[in-house]
Amino acid sequence: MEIKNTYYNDLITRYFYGEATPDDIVELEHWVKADPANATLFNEFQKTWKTVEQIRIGSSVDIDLEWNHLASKLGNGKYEPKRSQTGMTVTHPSMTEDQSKIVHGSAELRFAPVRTSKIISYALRIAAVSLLLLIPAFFLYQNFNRPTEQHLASGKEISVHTLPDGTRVTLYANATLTYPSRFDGPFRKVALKGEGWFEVAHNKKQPFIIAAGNVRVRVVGTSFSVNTQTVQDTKEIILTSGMVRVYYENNPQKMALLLPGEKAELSGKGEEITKTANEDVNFLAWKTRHLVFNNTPLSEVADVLTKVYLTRIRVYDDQIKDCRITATFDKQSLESVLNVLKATLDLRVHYNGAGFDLYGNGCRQGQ
Amino acid sequence: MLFRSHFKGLCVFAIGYVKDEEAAREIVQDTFVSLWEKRLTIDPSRPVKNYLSTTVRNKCLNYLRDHKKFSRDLLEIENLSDEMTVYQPDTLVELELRERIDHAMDELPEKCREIFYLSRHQNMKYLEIADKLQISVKTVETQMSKALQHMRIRLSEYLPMIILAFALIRFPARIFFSTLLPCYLVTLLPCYLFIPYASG
Repeated sequence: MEIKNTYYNDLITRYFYGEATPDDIVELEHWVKADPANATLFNEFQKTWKTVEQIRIGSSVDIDLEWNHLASKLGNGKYEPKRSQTGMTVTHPSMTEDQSKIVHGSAELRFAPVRTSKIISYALRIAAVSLLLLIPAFFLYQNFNRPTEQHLASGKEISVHTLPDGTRVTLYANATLTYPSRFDGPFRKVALKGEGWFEVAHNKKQPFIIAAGNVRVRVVGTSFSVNTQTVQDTKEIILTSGMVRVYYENNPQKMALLLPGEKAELSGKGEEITKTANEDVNFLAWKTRHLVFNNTPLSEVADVLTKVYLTRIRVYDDQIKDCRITATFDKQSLESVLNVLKATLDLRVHYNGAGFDLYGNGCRQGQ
Repeated sequence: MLFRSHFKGLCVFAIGYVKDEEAAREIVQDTFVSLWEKRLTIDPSRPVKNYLSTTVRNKCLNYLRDHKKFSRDLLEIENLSDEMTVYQPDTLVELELRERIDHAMDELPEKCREIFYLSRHQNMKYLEIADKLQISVKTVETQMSKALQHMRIRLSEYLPMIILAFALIRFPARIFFSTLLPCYLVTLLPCYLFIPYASG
């Protein structure tokens, strides 16, 4: 295959550079006619060759040289000027150019009006070419100017961001969000790892889709919470307002519609979508700092506090694990919450450098 | 001066047929000689371009026949025109092409480039090049073929431009704007529009 290709390339090249023998030409003729693909290749070579030659001739031909050459040919006296009735003056090419220009004055004049309109059409053509050269350049620029991928990582803290479409995202600690610098195309798609709270900007024409692993949450302008890291790779979506569609990437038909107050759980295996009423009042407490405890055991309170305040709160004594507490905290500091707990449950709070440990003797009946 | 304005165009026209620069030049020279000889009998109302083109073409075909290089079929496939085009120097497209060609030539391996140069710019025949560089004719052949192939690949990226350039140079403005321009847009614009969406 390789050898055959070079053979015909060589043959074609010989032809175009005038090195083909009569036999070559016959062979080439047959080959070109044998298959339209051959003819196409032949033509492509021809175009290339012609272009290169044309550009080269432009600079390699020395007009003055050629003129002198012509002059010497005519100067040999080989020609015989034939006289006619028109009475045109005969000039000899050995005259200087200026002189011959004067003599051919009438002939020059005939060309003059053509020249100005030629200049205009010439200019127009250059304009057209420039414009047309710009069109592909523009599209290539568009192509290379695609939206870039942006990353948001919240690190150890909670962070708030605004996306290019106005959507506000609050990321819990150690969460990352990937989104494009420009929302082009039919969807606004972002990728989430970890927990985030979204306040999605309304745009009916461009639905907002959050990808978390193989789970998709499709939104049309609502506020909701997505948590991608629950136990055993389950993804949790809790809705507070509006409506979302939740589905697996590979099975968009099997989708669950979430209404406010509902929670959807999707397993890592991509099979079930479990919809329940959301019972966790404090699911967004990490963002709102609004804590509601209703007969909540201390162990659970400690977990919530750990999450919300990003500080490890441990219940050290077993006997106080089940102590119940009913209280509401709104935008309180951790210290003030711990003080209330201390007072209510008679606890000792010890700061161990990284977090707080809770000690106690137990709960009285009814608490 | 008729000579100055038409000589280059006629050369390109002739080379299209005879594929030999020297032969082309001689044919064009002879044509001007015969023009001179017949200048008093030529009808001044008919464009001189036609006369020159026809004469050059006939001389070219004779040359091919004399050298047993004439192939009607190949010439037909090459789709050579019947008329010369006046050479327009330094158009935007030409400058761009020139740069492309130079760039493509720089990309050639040294030996290849040298051979190509000797052939095109020094007008040497394969045999002469082989002799000068002390290599086989077969090597010269292969290298020339490689060079042309490389040019073909490099310039094919600009083929729409080349076609456009040729079209511009060849056809009167009226025809260009009414037919070729729409053709160009229709055939190529969809391609350019497709690019952003293909990857988006």
